[in-house]
Amino acid sequence: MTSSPRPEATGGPAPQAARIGPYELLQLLGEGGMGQVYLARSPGARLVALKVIRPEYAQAPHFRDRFRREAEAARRVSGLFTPPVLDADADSPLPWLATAYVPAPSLHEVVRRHGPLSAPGIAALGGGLAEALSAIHAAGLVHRDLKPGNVLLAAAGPQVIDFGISKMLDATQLTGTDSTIGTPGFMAPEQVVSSRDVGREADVFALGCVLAFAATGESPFGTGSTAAVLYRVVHEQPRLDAVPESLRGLVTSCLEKEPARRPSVAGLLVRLGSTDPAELLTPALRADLAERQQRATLLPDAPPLPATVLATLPVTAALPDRRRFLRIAGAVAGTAAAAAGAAVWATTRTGTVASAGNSPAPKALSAGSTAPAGPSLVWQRELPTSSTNGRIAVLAGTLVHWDQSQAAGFDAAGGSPRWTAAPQLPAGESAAVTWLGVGGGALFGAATSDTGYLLALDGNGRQLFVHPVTQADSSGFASPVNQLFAVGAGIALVGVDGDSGFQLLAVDLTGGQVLWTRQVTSSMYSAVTDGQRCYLQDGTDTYALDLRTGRSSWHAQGTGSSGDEPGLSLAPNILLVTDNKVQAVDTATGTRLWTAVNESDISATLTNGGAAFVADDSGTVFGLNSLSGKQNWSTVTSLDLFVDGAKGVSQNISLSQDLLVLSTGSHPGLVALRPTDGRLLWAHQDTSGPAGQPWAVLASGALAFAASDTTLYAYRSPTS
Amino acid sequence: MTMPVSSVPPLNQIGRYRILKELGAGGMGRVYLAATPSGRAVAVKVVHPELAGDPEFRSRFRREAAARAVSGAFTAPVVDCDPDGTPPWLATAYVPGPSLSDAIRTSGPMPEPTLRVLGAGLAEALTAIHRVGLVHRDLKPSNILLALDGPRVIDFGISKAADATALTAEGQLVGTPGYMSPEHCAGAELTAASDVFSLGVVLAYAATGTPPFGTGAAHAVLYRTMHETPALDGVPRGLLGIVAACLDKDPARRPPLDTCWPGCTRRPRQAGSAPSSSRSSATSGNWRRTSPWRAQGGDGCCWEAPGCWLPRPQAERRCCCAPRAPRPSAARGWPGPHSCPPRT
Repeated sequence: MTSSPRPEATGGPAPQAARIGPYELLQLLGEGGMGQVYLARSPGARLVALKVIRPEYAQAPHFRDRFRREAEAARRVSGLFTPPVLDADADSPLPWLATAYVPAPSLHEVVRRHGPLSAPGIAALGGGLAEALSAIHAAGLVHRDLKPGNVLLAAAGPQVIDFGISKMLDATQLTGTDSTIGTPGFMAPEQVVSSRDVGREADVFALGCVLAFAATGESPFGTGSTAAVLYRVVHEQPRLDAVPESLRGLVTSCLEKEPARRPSVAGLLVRLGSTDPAELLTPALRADLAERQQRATLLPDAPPLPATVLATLPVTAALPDRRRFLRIAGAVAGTAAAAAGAAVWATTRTGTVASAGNSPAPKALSAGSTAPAGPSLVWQRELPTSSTNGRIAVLAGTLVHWDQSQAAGFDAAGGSPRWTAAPQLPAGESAAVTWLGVGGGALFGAATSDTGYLLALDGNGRQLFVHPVTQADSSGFASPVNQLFAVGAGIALVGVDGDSGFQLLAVDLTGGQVLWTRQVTSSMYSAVTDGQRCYLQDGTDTYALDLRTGRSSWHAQGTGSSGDEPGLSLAPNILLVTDNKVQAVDTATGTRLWTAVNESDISATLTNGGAAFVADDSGTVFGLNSLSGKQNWSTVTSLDLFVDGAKGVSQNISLSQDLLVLSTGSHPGLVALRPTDGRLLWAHQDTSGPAGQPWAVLASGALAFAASDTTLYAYRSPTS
Repeated sequence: MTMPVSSVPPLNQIGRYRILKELGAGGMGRVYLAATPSGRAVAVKVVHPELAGDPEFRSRFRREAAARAVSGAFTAPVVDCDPDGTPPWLATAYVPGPSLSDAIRTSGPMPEPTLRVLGAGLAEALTAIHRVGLVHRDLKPSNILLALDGPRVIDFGISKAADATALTAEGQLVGTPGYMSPEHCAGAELTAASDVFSLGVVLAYAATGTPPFGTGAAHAVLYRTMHETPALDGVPRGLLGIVAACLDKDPARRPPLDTCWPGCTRRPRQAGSAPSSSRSSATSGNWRRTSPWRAQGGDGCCWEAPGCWLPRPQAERRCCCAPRAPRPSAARGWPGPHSCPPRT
């Protein structure tokens, strides 16, 4: 269909990844007063935690020197006790530090989720942290911000992170409300009083607080307003009744107000003696670590954040108050569990109907994680003749299957055949009908002789109308209608491929008259309607036309890429143009709102109110907020999703209230995610034979339908 | 090389490290798995007492300690040492994971996507080594550990500061035939490009299972290294160019490490994908890995999670899914790109 040569890509590859130094940003892990921490990927496919300092901090006098010195010191310390430093750049406009990413939960998360540690576990933690402090101090550093959030319980032992880089800033220079001079509840009294007089003893105090936290779930100086907690740190005794008897003396001595009275780190090590790491690595923690490690093996393949993220870095954007790390964890946790433990079983190729509910029990990934149930096959039906590039839709309780040359209806609930399309053309006409697609509750087809006809069947196979829409030109043939774009308000938007080029037609379906036509300049075009306006994507530009009159209301330039077939979808007041990225445009004015998922090979974007969904060909699926373009979730599946362009010519992605269903490529099958949070519900692939054509997939409520070249399938999915 | 029988009783403590078990022994000494007081795992290399007096071994130890300057992300980081002790010892973080030589020996040649990961990871490690002014000089499969987060380069014993002008006193050729660059064989000065040559050899070996300059008598291997073209059949086509370039006899023509792994071509579309779309793939400027594969670790180490490129242990090779024809591209023992429920 395309005759125009593709323009050469200029300016390098299409996707613009957010990059700092040599690292590609993958996810935002956390944000604090000093800056952000990103999960990023090195050129060697290693995962790093990339800490990026805000420029306003970087501009403070002598900041960069201190940053450089501390990065060097952190390099010296790393070995067993802190993640190794890969690289740092103190001179960049956005100074950054890259350390190896450790897939482990913090002590804070572990205690919150699994409760206080046992007494031997606390002792093991104490021994691990005391050794870490010993190494840190031997390198000439004081940590200054030891707290449960900065202690990672890794399989190799507790790791201390976040050296409070450049927290030597004078408190008066700080403008943020985040306490970057320490964390109330874990700061030594001398640190509260003056951030300058902080020596190694302050770290010992913090260690005592951390051990008390491990026993009780909160600081020994309680919770409440910062001022109240700090007062207690300086003036009141800590509450240690819940600390196990065997450790209470040690913790008490660490929490002496007078620094000189606290034990030295060496003394602590002696008092703790030999501790057993197995007491810290409980089965629940081991399971958590295994899951995180599994996720971490998938992450190097994740698509990078788009470069637009970097544009927002200096501004304290009001990020939604979500614990991003855990949310990422939650999203991909389903993946790790599901992709590895999903009920993958072979369907037989002989077409016998597998009995529903017969799925083998999926194996649990590890103790403590729930194994997802797979879908149950409701019915399976061989097609009367084999089909190529078939598509499916549900119309009035009927599953309609069509390809270019044939169409038939099956009972959606049971699969029994209901009708085969037998379209009627006006007397005397005998052209073959080409089926175009479904819209407005009907299946549309076109037939062309010396008149181009548009006809439609309803869900019962009954023909609703046949309208002539194009007339023969000088060649004696009419231009065929070869695309159905959208139907709205009783008007169908169709594409005509004529000698004079491509045209968009609006056909009134009641009367059959062509309301308006519009010449289109590019072979890459698409249209959609919200019932009021028709939105046309013509090459790189978007036009809003009145649906009834075709009169142009606005025109936005540069919304599309000239080399890719565009797909259009609508959210409330927002038009999404998808080609090699998702571009949002305000439907009233044509103003560009946001861009996301800037990659070369992405699927059509489907919308449901305020949420938009799109997949890329690396197996990642995104749930976006249509209004802001921000990711609500992204799920890295380890599956070979079949992605064949944003126009959605192959029916490889489909959305219902309950399910987002995608088609797989290497072995035909389908994958279902939960639209609200991207949780991978199940994956089902036919592995019994060689690779075949990907299936067309359709989500309808909690049902997932699929069509191969020979067979229709209906599955019922669990929705949680 | 036969070692004199040691009359020293077995060690159970070195410095503050509690010896747990012996990991291996070599010409220079023994390596033990040991634990810190709080239970962290370290590998302690102890020089054979008989050799401890030899200044050559002490200087090797000092060079190992000099590797501290390299980020621990790319090596087994040195955490403690006593080069003047009796015997001298050196402790590094224990990196759980097979050496590349063990992995290839048990699981066969690596498939292309795994090779790409290996190559990119090694290029990054060598870059970090060179950045601190060192040349490794002995890069080979037994000096590469496959850790979960990437390959680690170990054993800096014969590494050398790139700007050192003093030659080794003994004048002998120190290195491993088959992995030494031609200039190394000739006794000339080594540069970072010499490590690039060794990287090429390592990748060719990992791809085919046989060293590109063959095996056998050392002098024959050295001759082939200096004068003959390497045997690269079996190296995947997508990597042939870069591997051959690394193996150029002229150090100046070998690619620098930061361009060693330019964007590779995108994963080719599946055969039989729907032809109706008229899209073309975008330009191939981005390096993209195929989906990671699953393997089961689980040899009793405290880390239990599967890794994306570690070979499957012997006991778990058989896929538990419905049997199907073996994929020709999947080398034996390396997991294929296919979701397989893990063993509980």
